[in-house]
Amino acid sequence: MSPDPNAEAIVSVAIAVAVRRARLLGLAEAAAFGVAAGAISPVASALVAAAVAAWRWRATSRASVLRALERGYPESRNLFITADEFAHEALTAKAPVRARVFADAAARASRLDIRAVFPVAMLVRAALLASIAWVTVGATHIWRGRPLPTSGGALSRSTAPAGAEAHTRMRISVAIQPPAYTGITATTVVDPEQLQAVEGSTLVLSIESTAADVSVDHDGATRVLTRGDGGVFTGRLQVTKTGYLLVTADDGEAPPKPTAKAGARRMMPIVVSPDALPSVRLTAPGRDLVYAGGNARITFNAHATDDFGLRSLALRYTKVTGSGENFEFQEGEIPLAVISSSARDWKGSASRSLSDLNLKDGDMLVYRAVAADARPGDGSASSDAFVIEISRLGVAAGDAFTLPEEESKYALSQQMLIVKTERLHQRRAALTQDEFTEQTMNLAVEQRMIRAEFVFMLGGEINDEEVEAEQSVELQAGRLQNRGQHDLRTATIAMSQAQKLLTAANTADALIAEHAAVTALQRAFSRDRYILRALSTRSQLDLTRRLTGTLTEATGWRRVAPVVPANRRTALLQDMLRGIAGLITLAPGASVRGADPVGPAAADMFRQRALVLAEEAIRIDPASALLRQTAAELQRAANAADAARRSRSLAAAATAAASEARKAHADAPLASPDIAPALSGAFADAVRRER
Amino acid sequence: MTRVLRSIAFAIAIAALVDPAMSVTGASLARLALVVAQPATPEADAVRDRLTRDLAASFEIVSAITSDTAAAVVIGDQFPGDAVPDSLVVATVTTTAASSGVRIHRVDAPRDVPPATAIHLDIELEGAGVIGRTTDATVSIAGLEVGRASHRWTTAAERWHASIDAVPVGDPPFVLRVAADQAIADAAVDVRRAPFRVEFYEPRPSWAATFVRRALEADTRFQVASFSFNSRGISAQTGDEVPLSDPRLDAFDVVVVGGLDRLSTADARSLERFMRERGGASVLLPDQRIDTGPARDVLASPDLVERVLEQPAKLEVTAPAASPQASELLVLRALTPGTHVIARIPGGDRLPVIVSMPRGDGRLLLSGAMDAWRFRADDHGAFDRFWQSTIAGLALAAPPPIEINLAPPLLRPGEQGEVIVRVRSRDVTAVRASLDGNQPIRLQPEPEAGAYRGRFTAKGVAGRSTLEVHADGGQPVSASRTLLVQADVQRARHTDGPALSMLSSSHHGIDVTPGHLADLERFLRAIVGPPQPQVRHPMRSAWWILPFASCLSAEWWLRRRRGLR
Repeated sequence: MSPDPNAEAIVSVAIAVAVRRARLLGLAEAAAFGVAAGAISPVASALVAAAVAAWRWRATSRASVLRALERGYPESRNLFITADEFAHEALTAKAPVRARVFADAAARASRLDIRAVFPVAMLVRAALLASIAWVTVGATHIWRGRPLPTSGGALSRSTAPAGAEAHTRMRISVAIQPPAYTGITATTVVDPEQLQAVEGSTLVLSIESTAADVSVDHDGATRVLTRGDGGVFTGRLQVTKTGYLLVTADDGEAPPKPTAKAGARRMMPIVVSPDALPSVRLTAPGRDLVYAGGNARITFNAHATDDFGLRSLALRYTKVTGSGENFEFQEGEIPLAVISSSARDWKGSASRSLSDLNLKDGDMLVYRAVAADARPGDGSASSDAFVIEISRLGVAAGDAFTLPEEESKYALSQQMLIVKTERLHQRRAALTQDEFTEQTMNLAVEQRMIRAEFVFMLGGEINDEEVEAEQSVELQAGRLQNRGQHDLRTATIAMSQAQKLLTAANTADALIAEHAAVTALQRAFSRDRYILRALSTRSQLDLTRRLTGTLTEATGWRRVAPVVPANRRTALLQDMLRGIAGLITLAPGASVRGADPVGPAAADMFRQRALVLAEEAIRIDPASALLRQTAAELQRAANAADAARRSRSLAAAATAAASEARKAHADAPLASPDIAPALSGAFADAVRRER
Repeated sequence: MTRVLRSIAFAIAIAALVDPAMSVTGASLARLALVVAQPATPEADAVRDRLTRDLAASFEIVSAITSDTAAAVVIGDQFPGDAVPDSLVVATVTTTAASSGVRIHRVDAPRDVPPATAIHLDIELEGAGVIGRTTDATVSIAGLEVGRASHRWTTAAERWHASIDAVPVGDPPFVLRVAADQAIADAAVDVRRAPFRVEFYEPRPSWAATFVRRALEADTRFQVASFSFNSRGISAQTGDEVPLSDPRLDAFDVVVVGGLDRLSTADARSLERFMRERGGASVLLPDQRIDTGPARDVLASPDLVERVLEQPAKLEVTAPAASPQASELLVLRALTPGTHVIARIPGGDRLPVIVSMPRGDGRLLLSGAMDAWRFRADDHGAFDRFWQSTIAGLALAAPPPIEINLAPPLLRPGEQGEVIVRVRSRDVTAVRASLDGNQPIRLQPEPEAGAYRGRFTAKGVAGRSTLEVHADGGQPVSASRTLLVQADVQRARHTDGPALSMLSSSHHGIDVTPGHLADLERFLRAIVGPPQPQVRHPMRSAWWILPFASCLSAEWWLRRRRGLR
């Protein structure tokens, strides 16, 4: 047999084919074992695959493959090894011998069955093992009612909280667009724990999710979002008050409810900063004015501020003319010359004379400053209203009616006058006569001012001491039936006496008169309180109706106590606290009350309950900062991977919830300290009798 | 073999007939109880270990007092809770309080609170050797922290009074666990389901009473009735009101009276009866000085002075009540013993304005804040909250038809407890109590009228028990109370009780400190004496019948097996 010149090449090709098959089989087996281990966790999958691949790779070296060939075909008697050594010059021989070896090896190689030498049986077994492992995992998940995860380990306990919603992972991007008039630029936040916006802002939602449906619940109103061009769910909503936003991604397997096992949920409190109305006040005159006549010029100054910006500032008035039942009202506006230091801070002023305002005797002008901010619609606010009155009678009745601001706040305090008089009376020895007289004179002035107030309340009919003296006779005769008026008149008489005594620097007697005035005032205000209205003009009373009622119709009656609604907020907060207490014992890794470590099912239950409680916290009152904090901490606890962080979040949630609940609960009853309850009363009686 | 067995049986029989006497020395050690008062401290344990080591050769050491104990040594820092036989010689080793650390001395908690109400706890803590440290006292229910207070210790030995308002969580009775550093104490608080019944009585309309009534009417915990006379023979009524003279007034817990200047002598007498006999509380709300008249007689306090402030002042009040404001005040310049000051004028002389004083079994509250109602809208309704809290406290203190008190309120499984029952009615013929319906409790009458005391044993497992009390008589009444049994009950260490040394003084013993244990050992050896020889008769033991019978039986069986007779 002549040697084949291509024998060496044939042998080399055969060996290379064998090596390639061995390596492919090794890699396939490694992959199969990796898939099988993947049922436990991704890490285990990678480790097993790498280990098997490394082990199998060692068996696919050229020498190993040649040994395998020799084992598969023992009748070749090391022919392939010898040929390989000749090929790699590891062995030398004469050319005929070499040719003969290669020829024989080539002849053998042509009959080689590589599949028999490197069978797929091991690969089939590995694939079978992987199939069994994953079927087991799938069956377990279906039995637990959870969908099979598409990635990550299915049996890994640590992945349960963080990876439970992996199949419907959401990325929520919210663009907050404040109203244009605020001048605030829009901002975008991604996966926020809480949204903060100005009243009237628009929230543009962009939600990336693999879920089939995404819906948002804004303060109880639910709407389903549509998927946009880029596969992103989008939606817009306007916020006007503090509330919440609940985003639910649903796979369509279960309805979006708090305990739904399919889908993911994200609760976000929305804190809305209201656009406050402008703050406006009249700095001048800033008090009521009464004129007997003339043509006085009045300067009006107004000051307005706003949190975002002002739009207008003006002085509006209502002029009242006429008397009795024939009043006429005329509305008007006085433009103000505005000086704005900024868009948020305006000052305005105007000056008018009484003739400019066309005010006559008996007329009254009620005026106020009105400022509006830049919001669409009515964003206006008014200052306190003041009065300009033209009334000769009003000025005559109380010549100090238009009191300076500092003094007017004391105008009604007869009691305070007594305190001042008592102090002065105690210090009289330490003062010179002039100083003492001066201070008693000041007190006399104050007494007159107080008296004037009450005289004015009586209708301004008492002008001087003579009239009072005349009417005092009437009082004694009991002809004045109105007891409140009776007491007020008695008080004013006592005040007059006190004023005279103070003017005479007789504080001791003045105190007696002042106390008498207080006694009369207390009687007047604790019984029949007929406070007469002071009219700008005289009105005739209808005396024919006096004492015309029938006393027989005056009977007792049964009052119906108001219905008090149940304290629902307290009940809700207590329910939430109870839920958090349950969570503490349920928490994976919790050591409370000896709770044992729990499995993935309990971890998932913990997460679901924590999220439900977070939603409950927000629904109770989204405006409560403590409840928002509770919700945020509960969501953190739900998603926490380690026990320490979970525990911290739960503790923080409990503290915040308990603080909020404390506010909702009634104050604790005040305990009575009884050392010996049965004897304390008798003891007190005995001590009292001894006295 | 048969011979051997037969010989043994004969030997036993002969020895029994002879009945030899043996003199034994050293086998009859006197029994000495070394009792460590609970909760034990490391120092007390060390003392016990040393005494055990030193005295083991001379005494038979046991850990509890039994009927045959020759003497006892009690080691601790407080008087033991369990009774000690009067005839027993007891020596004591008084250990010092914990050398360092924080201890909870006392936890004062209400017996019960109405629903949706915070629970006020007064906690007395002592810090030793913790100067400069900050201690957090926390209150938790079911593992949930519901209240907290902090304190920084500034002296080496210091007491801290912490007031904490806790939020109830879960089902009543609530178990509140107070923790401060390593110290722990539990308290139990139940819920009062019945509303507080309050009647308002106004001989004439008064703002002072009207706004207090409105405050209570706005609170679901109160059931308010009112009787207000607008004029002669004309009155406005609310709810199921009754005249003051009507015996049905006893159904109310509190009577609030305004318009005091029109109060009649009969009204005053009825109020006195309500307080003294029923044990109810009366609240007087004057709106002017009370110089004369029946109202003055009810008050019986001669030192009422009117004071007017320039500006309304926020009154200093006792926690946890809110602070109302007032400017026209009636102040008390002198107080009768037992008077509890609820509110004072802030700063300066701090004269009492609102006080409550015992009156028979009941209480009388006088509010001198005459114009407080004017400031009712200020400070988040402090006026309303003050009166709701104050009148709720008075109503809680008013005795119910049957009052059940448990001591201690929380028990361990199998622990003994005491029940004190107070029956309000005086025409009761029999009172009986039972635990869980199957454990009758023998109630013994106390010196106090209407009071009974009994002992019981808590069930052996943790859980809840129901203690029921029935009073038979003209109008049978019954009441029940839930008893909590917990394995891990922690109690505060009361150090304000009698000293431990009093126990040794009353039991012919001596009291030593841990540094003088040698004196104690000498004392014990002296009173108990050396062991005496004892004569014993070992063959009188009944146990000899066993080897005797066994030998005879075996011998008979062996003979029968060999075919012998």
